[in-house]
Amino acid sequence: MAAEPAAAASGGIAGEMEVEAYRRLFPLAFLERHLAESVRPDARRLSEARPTTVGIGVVSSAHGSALVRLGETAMLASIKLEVMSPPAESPDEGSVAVEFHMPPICSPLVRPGRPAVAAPVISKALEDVLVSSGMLNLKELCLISGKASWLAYLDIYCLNADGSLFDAALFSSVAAFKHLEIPLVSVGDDGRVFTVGGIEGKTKFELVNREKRKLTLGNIPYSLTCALHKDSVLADPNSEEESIIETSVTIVVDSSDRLVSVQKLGGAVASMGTIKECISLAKERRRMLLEILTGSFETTEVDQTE
Amino acid sequence: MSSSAATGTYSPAAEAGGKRREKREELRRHLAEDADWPRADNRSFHACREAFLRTGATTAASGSAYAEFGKTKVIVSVFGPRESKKAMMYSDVGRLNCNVSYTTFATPVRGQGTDNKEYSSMLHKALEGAVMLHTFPKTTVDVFALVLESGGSKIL
Repeated sequence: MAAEPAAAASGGIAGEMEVEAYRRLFPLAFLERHLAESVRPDARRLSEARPTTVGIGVVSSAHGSALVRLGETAMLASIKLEVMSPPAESPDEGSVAVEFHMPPICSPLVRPGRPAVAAPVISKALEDVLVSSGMLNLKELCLISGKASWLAYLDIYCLNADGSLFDAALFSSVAAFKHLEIPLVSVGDDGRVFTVGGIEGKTKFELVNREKRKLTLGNIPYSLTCALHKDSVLADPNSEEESIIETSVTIVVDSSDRLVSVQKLGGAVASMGTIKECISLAKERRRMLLEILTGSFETTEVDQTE
Repeated sequence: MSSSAATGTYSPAAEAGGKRREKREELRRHLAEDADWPRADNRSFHACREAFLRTGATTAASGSAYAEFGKTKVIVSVFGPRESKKAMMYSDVGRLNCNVSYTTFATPVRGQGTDNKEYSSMLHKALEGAVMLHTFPKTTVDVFALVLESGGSKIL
């Protein structure tokens, strides 16, 4: 272990410089010294997640949108609906296209032309979880059976990458779907569907759907990522912790506390006991996230103007 | 609609063209004939939209800002000065690298979200004069802009 910077204890500018240098030069030792005191470098308890906030309806041109802040990690999810002809094998179902983007603004590791390694991994994982959790009933996205149905383009942009990207991305997708309002449409003479706005529009045209409606969401998935280091389980790691600790587990539970997915991609071996601890942390987190989600919908008066 | 031709989808909002076409014709007539008339959002000719600026939008970057001009919303991050693979040769002055890209939901009709080379080079030309490149030789400063919503006059 490195020589202890005794000067750090003496305080003053010299003391602070020592700590910052120690943090950069020996990040693992720096973290372990904190873990020995059951605390993390940002003063959180080991099982404590960062403060989370949700803002809905942030993108005015989208049919559903949400901005989630998980500590410093910021995710913007937006859903735009387009009409398509459903495939022959599922004529009364719509579909969802999920894409997760990490633009260069979010992290120094991403360059234009060299996309982040994590982006397609998270994109695929998100799609799998959203579809398999049973949250969405694709039949609700149908317009005219066999002829027209909705294709929901879900685009999630990471605005600031500071760890736990999958958690924030999933939460923002869920919030955006909860916020989603399907617009009123009518069928034109050429057989194409078009949106109808305003009161006169409602009475002038023959509407396909009665009123602007929201999707009914089934079991909503909530996730928690935990970093595993020796015997410690750190919930909701930030980017500094993620860069030091190689092993992490992502648990997804639904609103009935059932397990939707467990993802552990490589890293050190983890015992069943550790995984069970992560699962119980995820269940606790689920309760908190549900509160935050319902709280944000109650306080926000969503006004969908043109 | 060229982007959706490949997937065979279309945005129903774009179909309600009738009324919009009328509005556009009226606008064109006004521009040609009248000297002073209210714009779509009741502004006078020389009035600018409300601006909103805030720094510190992203913490991962060395510096960042969020700006709103009416309905146009942009996030910008600056990284640097940092080492760059492109600047292999020693140079007395630093390099400035600008990149402007759009989100897929920036335009009313869903786009591809690709880089906009024209705006990138315009941004580069605009900032060139303001950045003191000789103070950071051999390194690069990267400026990345992401347009969240586009309502005209993005170059700001």
